[in-house]
Amino acid sequence: MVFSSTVFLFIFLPLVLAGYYLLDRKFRNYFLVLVSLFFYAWGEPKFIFVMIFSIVVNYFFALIINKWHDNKIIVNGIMAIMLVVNIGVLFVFKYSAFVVSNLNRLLNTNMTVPKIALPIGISFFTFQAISYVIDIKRGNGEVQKNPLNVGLYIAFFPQLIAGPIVRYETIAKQIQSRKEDWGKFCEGIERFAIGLSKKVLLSNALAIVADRSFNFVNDDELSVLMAWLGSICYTLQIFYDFSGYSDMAIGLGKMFGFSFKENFNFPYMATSITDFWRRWHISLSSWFRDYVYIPLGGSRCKKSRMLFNLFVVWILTGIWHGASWNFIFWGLFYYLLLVFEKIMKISNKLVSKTYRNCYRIFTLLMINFGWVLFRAENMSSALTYLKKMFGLCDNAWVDVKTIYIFKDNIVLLLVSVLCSVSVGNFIVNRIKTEKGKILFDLCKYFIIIILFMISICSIASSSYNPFIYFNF
Amino acid sequence: MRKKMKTCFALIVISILAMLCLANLKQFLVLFEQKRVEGIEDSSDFAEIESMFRENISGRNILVNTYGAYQKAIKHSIVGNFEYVADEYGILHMINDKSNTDVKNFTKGLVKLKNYADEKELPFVYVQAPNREIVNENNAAIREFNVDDILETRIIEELQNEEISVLDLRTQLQVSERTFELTDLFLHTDLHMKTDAEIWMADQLAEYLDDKFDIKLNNPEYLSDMTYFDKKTYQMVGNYARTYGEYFVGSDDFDIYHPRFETSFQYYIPGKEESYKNGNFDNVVLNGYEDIEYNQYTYWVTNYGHFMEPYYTYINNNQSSGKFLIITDSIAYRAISQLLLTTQKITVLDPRFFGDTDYVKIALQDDYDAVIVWQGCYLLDAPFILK
Repeated sequence: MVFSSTVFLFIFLPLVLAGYYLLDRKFRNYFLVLVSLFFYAWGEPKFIFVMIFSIVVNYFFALIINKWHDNKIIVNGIMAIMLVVNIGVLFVFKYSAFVVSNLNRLLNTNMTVPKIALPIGISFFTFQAISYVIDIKRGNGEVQKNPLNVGLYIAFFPQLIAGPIVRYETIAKQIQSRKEDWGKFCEGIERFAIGLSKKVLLSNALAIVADRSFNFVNDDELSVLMAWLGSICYTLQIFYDFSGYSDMAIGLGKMFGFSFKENFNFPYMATSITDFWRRWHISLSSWFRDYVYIPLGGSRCKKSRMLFNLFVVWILTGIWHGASWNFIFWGLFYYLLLVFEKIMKISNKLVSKTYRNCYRIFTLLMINFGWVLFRAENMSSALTYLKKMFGLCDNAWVDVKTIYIFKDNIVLLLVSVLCSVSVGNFIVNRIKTEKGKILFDLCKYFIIIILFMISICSIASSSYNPFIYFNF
Repeated sequence: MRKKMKTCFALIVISILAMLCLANLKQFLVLFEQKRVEGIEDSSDFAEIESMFRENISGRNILVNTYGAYQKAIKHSIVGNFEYVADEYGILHMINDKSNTDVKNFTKGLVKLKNYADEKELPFVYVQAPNREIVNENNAAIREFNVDDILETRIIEELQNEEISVLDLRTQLQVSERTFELTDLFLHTDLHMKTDAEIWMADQLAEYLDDKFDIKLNNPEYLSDMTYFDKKTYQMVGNYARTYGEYFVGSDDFDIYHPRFETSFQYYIPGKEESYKNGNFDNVVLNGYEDIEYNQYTYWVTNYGHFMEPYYTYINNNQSSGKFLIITDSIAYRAISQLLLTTQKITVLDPRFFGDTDYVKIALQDDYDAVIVWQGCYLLDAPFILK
C-alpha cells in the first residue's frame, strides 16, 4: 500500500485515525503495531514473516546486550551476530542474485542465480533494526521490554517502506510517553497534505517526461534537448517523490503524536556536494556517519585513513540503494566529488559571491549527472544517456516533439523549480506584521486544501503512480 | 486567529477524508470480501483490489472531471503517461510514435486473402479509412506523435505493388464532396469517426464499387441524403477522454440517424441459433442503447455492430441485391449499418476475435459480390489467415 492510493486515503488512514483516538491510551501502541503489520502485509503477505523475524531477533539482541552490558565479550559477540543476521537477511533478499551473477561472469561458472523477490522497505527497516540494537548498546535510550514496542519502532507504517530512517534514540521516549495534541495533529495534517501534493502533482507528472527519455535511451530519436529535459525532470522527480513521501511520513507521525526528524532541507540549494549531502536524505547520511564513518575513525585520523573511511561509506551508500553496478558507481561518483572538495578545501575558496554561484551551478550539474547514473537501467544505458546529453551519439540536438513536450510542461517545470528552493521561507521572513502573517496563513491553507483535493482527483483518475524509493 | 485558521484547515481535511471513507467503505469491503473468497495469495491480488476499488469509487466521474479541468487550467495537452495529446482544435490523438512498426505481416495476410477471393472470382477491395492527423497538416509535433499516416501509406504502397484495389479515403477527403469540416471528421474524445463521416465513407465505397467493378447498390440516396432520416444527438465522452473526463476537451455530439422509411432486417451469427433477430433498423441494426438509462459516458459507438463477435450477418429483407463480406474492426460500424440500407446482405468478420478459427474460409463458402477489408490502422496484428 502506498500513501498516494485510494485504499490508503479513503479507507486505511481514516479508519486507523478513528481507531487510534477512540481507543484507550494503553492500547494505542498495540493498535499501531497491528495496523502497521496489516499495512505491510497488504503489499506482500508472505514477507510479513521477514518483518516479524526482524522484530523478534532484534528484540532479543537488545535484551541480551542490555542485560550483559558490562560484559564486553558477550556484548561484542551479540553485536557481531546481530550484524550478521540483519545484514545477512538484507544480503539474501537484495544482493544474492547480483553477487552470484557477477561471480558467474568473473569465474566463468554457472551457479544458479537465485530469484528472490525483494521485501518492500527491507533496506529501511533493517537499518532501523540495527539502529535499535546499537543505540541500546551505546546507552542511547531504554531497552524495550515489550516486544510490541520494538515492533512499533521497526514497523510503524508512516516510515516503514520509504523512511525517514528513524533513529531509536530520537524516538525511544516517544514510544511510551508521547503526548498527542491538537496543534501537533493539525501540523501533521498540513505536512501530509503538502507531501501528497508534491508526490502526486509534481513527482508523478515529472516522472512521465523523465520515463519517456530514459526509456528511449537506445532510440535514435533521443535528441540532446530531450536527454537534458529528461535528466532535469528526473532530478526534480526524485526530489519530490522522496521528500513528498518523507513529508507524508513526518505528517502521519505527528498525527499519532510522534516527532520525526527532517529528511530534506532544500537540497538543490546546496552550495557544494558536501552541503548537498547534509540536505539530501539526511536520515541515511547521518546513519552512515554515526554508525559507519565515525566508528571507523571519521575524519579525526590520518588523511589516508579518512579517505578510506569515506570510500567505505560511499560504496555502502551506493550498494544500499540497489544491487546494480550503476548504484555502486553512483556512490563512487559522489566519493570522488567529496574527496575533491576535501582535498581542494573548496569551502575555504567559496568566499566571493561569483565563485559561490559558479560552484553552485557546478554542484547542480554534478547532481544531475549523478541522477542519470542512478536512474539508468545499467551502466551501459547510463553512459549512452550521458553521451546523448552532449550529442556524442550523432543524435540530433533538438526535435519537434521535444519542443512540444517542453512547452506542454513549462508550468510544471517552473513550479517544480520554484518549490525546490525555499520560496515559502523567503516570503515568511519578510512578513513582519501579524496581519500579514494571518493573510499568508490564509492563502497557504487555501492553496494546500485545493492542492490536496486535486491530488485526490489525480489519484482517483490515474493508475500511473511510480514510486522510486519503494524499490529500496 | 492563526490557531483558529489551523483548526479550520485541519477540520476541512478531516471532513474530506471522513466523507470519502463513509462513501466508499461498503464498496471496499464488498470488493475485499469477493477477492478473499477467490483467494488472496500475493501482491498482485492486492493490486487488483486496489485497481477495482479505484475504478469504482463513489463519485469517480466528478473527481476525474475535476482533474481534467485542472490539466486544462495548467495548459497541459498531453494526457496521462503519453497516452493521448490534444491538438489546438480540442481533438484528442492517440500517441503511437514508433514509425518502424513492421507492416509486412499484415500485407502478406491481405495478399493471401485476395488469393482466397480470386479463387471465388470475387472483387477484393482494401478501404483505407482516414486518420485524424489530417487536421494537423501544419502541426509537425502532433503528426510525429501518431504515425498512423506513415504506416497507412506504407501499407497502401505494398498493396498496390501486389495489384490489390485500394480505396484511399484519405485522398478522397480532399477531392470529394462532403457535408462536414475536417475538424468534424473524428469524434474529439474517441478513436472513431463522427457519424456523418462514416456515412460519407459508405457513400464513397458505393461509388468506388460502381466505378471500378460495376457493382450498383440500390437506393444510393440513403448514403448521401439525410432527409430520409430522423437525427438524434447524444452527448458522449469517448474512450480517449476517460483519463481526464469531460472538461478537458469537452464532450462530443454523437448522431444517430433513424430511417423514416420502412425497414426490415434479420441478424444472426452463423451456427448460433439463439442469436437470431428479426425486426426493423432500430431493433436489429441498433443495439437498443436509447431504450435504457444513458448518460454522457454511454459508449454510443457500440450501439452499432457487435463488439467481440468474430462473425455475424445482416440481411435486408427489402433489398434483392448487393452482398458483401466485410472484414473490419469498429472503425466502420456505422458505415456498415448505413450501407446495409442499400444492400441485401453484409457479413462482418472482425479478425481481432478470430482465435484459432479460420472464419474467412468459412464465410467464403457463402455467395458475395465482393470482399472488402476496411480499416484505420488497428488491425496490424490481426491474423486474417491462419495457415
